[in-house]
Amino acid sequence: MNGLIMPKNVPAYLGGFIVLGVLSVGLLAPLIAPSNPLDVHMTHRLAGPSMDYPLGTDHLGRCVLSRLIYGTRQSLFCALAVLVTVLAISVPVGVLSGYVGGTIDRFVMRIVDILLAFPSLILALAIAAMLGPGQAHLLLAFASVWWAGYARLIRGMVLQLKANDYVLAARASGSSHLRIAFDHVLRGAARPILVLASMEVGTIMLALAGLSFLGLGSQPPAPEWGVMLSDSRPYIQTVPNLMIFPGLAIALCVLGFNLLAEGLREQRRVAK
Amino acid sequence: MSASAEASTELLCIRHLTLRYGFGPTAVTAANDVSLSVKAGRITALVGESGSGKSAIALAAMGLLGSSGHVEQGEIRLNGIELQSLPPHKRKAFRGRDIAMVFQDPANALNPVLPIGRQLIETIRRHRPVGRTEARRIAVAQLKRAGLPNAESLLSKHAFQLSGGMCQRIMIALALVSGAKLLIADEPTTALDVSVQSQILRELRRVSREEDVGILLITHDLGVVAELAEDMYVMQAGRIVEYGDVYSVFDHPRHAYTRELLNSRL
Amino acid sequence: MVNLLVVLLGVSLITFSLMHLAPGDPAEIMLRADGVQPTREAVEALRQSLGLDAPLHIQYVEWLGRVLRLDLGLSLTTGKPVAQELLSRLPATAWLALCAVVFAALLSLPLGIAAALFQASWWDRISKLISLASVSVPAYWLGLLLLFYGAVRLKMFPVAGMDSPVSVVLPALTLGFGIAGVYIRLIRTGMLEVLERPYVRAARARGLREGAVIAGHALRNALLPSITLLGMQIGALLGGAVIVETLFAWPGIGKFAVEAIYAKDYVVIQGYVLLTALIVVLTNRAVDGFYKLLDPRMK
Repeated sequence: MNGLIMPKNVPAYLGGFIVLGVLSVGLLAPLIAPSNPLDVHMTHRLAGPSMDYPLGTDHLGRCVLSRLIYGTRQSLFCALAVLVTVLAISVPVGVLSGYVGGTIDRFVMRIVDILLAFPSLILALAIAAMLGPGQAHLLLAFASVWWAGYARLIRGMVLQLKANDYVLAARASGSSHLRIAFDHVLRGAARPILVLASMEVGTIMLALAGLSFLGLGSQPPAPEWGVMLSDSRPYIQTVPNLMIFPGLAIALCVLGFNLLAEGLREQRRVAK
Repeated sequence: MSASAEASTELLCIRHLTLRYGFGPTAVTAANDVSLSVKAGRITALVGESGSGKSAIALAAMGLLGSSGHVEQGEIRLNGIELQSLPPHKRKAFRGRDIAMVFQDPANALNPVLPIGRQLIETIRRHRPVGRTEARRIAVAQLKRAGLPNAESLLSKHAFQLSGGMCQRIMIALALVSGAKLLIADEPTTALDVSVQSQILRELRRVSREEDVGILLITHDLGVVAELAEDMYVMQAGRIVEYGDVYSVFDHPRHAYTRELLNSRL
Repeated sequence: MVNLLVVLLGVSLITFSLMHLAPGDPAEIMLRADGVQPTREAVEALRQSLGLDAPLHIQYVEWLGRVLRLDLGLSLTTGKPVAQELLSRLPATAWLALCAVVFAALLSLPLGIAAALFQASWWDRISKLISLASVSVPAYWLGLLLLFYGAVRLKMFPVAGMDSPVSVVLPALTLGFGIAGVYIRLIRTGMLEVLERPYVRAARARGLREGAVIAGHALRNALLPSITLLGMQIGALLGGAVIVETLFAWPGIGKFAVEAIYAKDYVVIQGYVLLTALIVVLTNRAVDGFYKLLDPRMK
C-alpha cells in the first residue's frame, strides 16, 4: 500500500475534502469573512440575506455568515485541542498499561473503569460547571473525562500487538523494551488510533457545541456554533434561518470527520 | 417400473455439470463436466484435495451455491426429477425432505444459542404436519436410533455443552429426521479428533444400511474412503478423473493423480 | 463483586471531589449565584452545614456516611432534599429514555436487517445515509428543527412540557435518532457475519423457511452485540437527555441539573452525577444478566 488513500474510496475523499474545506475556512477566516463577526448593528437586526450580509443578521445585527466562518475556528480548533490532550494522556497510559501489564495495568484499568462508570458527557458537564464557564475550563473538563475510554482501547490494541510473532522475535533478538514499544507496538497501533481519532473529533465537536448550547462553554459574544444555535431559539418562529445555518455547519463538519473515519477504516479492512 | 429398476435406485444423478463462481474474466470454474450418481443404501465417496471442487458440487446439489456461484450447464436429478429447471420455491421443497447435508464443523453447524430440541422440532414440523408433542416424540426416537444416550435430556442441551463427536451425531440425526433418503456428508470427520472419527463413520454406515440412506461422502481422506465407501469418484481441479468401486480403484488406480493420492497416504 | 465495590467507592470519591474543584470557597460561590455578595454569616452557616471546615478526609467520610443513608443534602434553590428532588424527576427521564430506545429500535432493526439482506441495494444505501446522519446531526439542532416543523409549523405536537401523552414524541425522536445510527450499523454487520455462519447454512440445508432462518437462527445471534452496546449507551442516553430535556422543557433530572448549574447549586450537581453513575453501573449489571439469558454460552 503506497498512498494513504486508494482510488475509489469515495467516503475517504469526500470526508477529506470536507475536512480540508472546513480547516481552510477556519484558517482563512479573516480573509474570507465579509464583516467582523462581533460588530453589532442594531439598525440591521434580524435582517434577511443581502449583499452586505449574505446569510442575514442575528438579533444584534451581526453578520451570520461571518460568525459561522469564525465559528469554525472555535468549534474545530477546540475539538482538535481536546483530541490532542486526550491522545497525549491516553496513548502513553494505554501503551504503558498494555505493554507492562501486572499491577500497573490493574491499577490503571481500575481508574478507567471508575471514570467510565460516569456518563462521560455528564461528568464533563459537572466538572465544567464546577470550574466555572469558559473555553479553557471546558477543554480541561473534557480531556479529564474523555481519555479513559481511549486508554482502554489503546491498551487492547497493544495487548494484541504484543502477542504478535514479530514482537516476540524482537524480544528474542534482544531489543530493549522501549524500542519494541515504539518500533513495533506504537507503530502498529498508529493507524487504528488515527481512525478512532478521526471519528472522535466529530463526537467531541458535537459534545462541545452541545455544552456551549447549554451556556457552559464559549460565552457570548464569541462566535461559536452552539452559542449561535442557543441565541437563535427565541427567533425560531420569525427567523428560522438563524437556527438552520449553525446546525448545518456543525452537521457538515462532523459528517466530514465521520466520512473520513469510515474511509480510513474501509482502507484498513481492504488492506488486511 | 421393472425396466427402470436400476435407475429407480439412483437417488442423485448429476450429468455433465459445470459450475462457476463469479462472472466475466475473473470467474473461476469449480466443476467441469462432472457426472456422478449416488444409489440408495450405498455410500459413494467423492475424493480430492481441498479446492478441487468437491464441496461446490455438494452445494449445487443442495441448491445452496450462494449468490456468486451458478450452474453453467448440465443437470442435477433427484429421484429422477431435474432440479435446475424448477422454480426456486419448488426446488427449496426438496431440501431437508429428500436431500440432506451434514457439514465439516459440527460444533458450529448447530445454532449456539438455541437448544438442540428446538432445532430438531422446528425441522420436523417444517416437513411434516405434526404438533409440538408429536414432533418431540419423533425427535427423541431419531436420537435414540442414532444410539445417543439420554436422548430426552439432550433436547434441552446446547451445542457448546456437547463434544464435537456428539454434535456431529446430532447433526446426522437432524439431517435425516425428516425422512431424507439422500445424505451429503461434506468432510464429516475432518474437524474431529481421530478417536471420535470412527464413531461418526459407524453411524454413517448404520444409517446407510438400516435406514437405506444413500450417502455422498465428500472427503480428502482416503482412509475414511477405504473404511466406509463402496463406490468412489476421484476429482482433480474440477474434473472427475477416475471412478469405480473402491476395491478396484485402490488396487488398480488407472489415473496418475489417483496413484499420487494413494502414494502420498502410504 | 469486589470489582463493583471498588468502582462504587471510586465513583463516590470523584463525586465528592467535584465540590472542591470550584475556584475559591464553594459556599461563597453558591450564595453569590444570584449576583448579590452574601453576608459573612450566611457563608459561614453554609460552610457549617456542608461541613467544609473539617479536613478533607473527614469531610469525605462524613459525606459518604450521609450518602449511604440516602441523604444527598438540601438543594440551595428549592430548600428540599436533593434525593427527593431527583427521584421525583427520575420517572420523566426514564420514560423519555425508554421511548427513545423504542424509537431507535423501530428505526434500526428494519434498516439494519434490510441493509444486510440486500447488500449494495437502495436499502443498504438509505440505511448507511441515515446512520451517518444519526451520528453527525447534533441532537440540539434536530430538536430545534423538529420543534420548528412539528410543533410550530404543523402544530401537531406541543412545544414543551409533558402535559399531554404525545408530548414525549418529539423529545424521544430527537434522543432516539442520535443513538439509532450505531445500531443500524451494528445490526447490519452482525447480520452479515451471522448469515455466513455454518449454522445458518445448515438451517437452510434442512429446508427451513427463509423467514424462520433469518428470524429464528440469524437475528438472535446478530442482536447480541447490540444488547451489550445498549448497556454501554445508558450513559450516552442520560447525557443526551440533558440537552433534549432542556430544549423541550421536559421535567426530568437532566433539565433539573442544568438549572442547578445555572444557579450554582453544587449540592444538586453532586447528587445528579452520583445518581447517573449509579444508574449506569446498575443497568450494566442488569444487561449482563439479560445477556446471559439470551446467550447460554455465557453462563
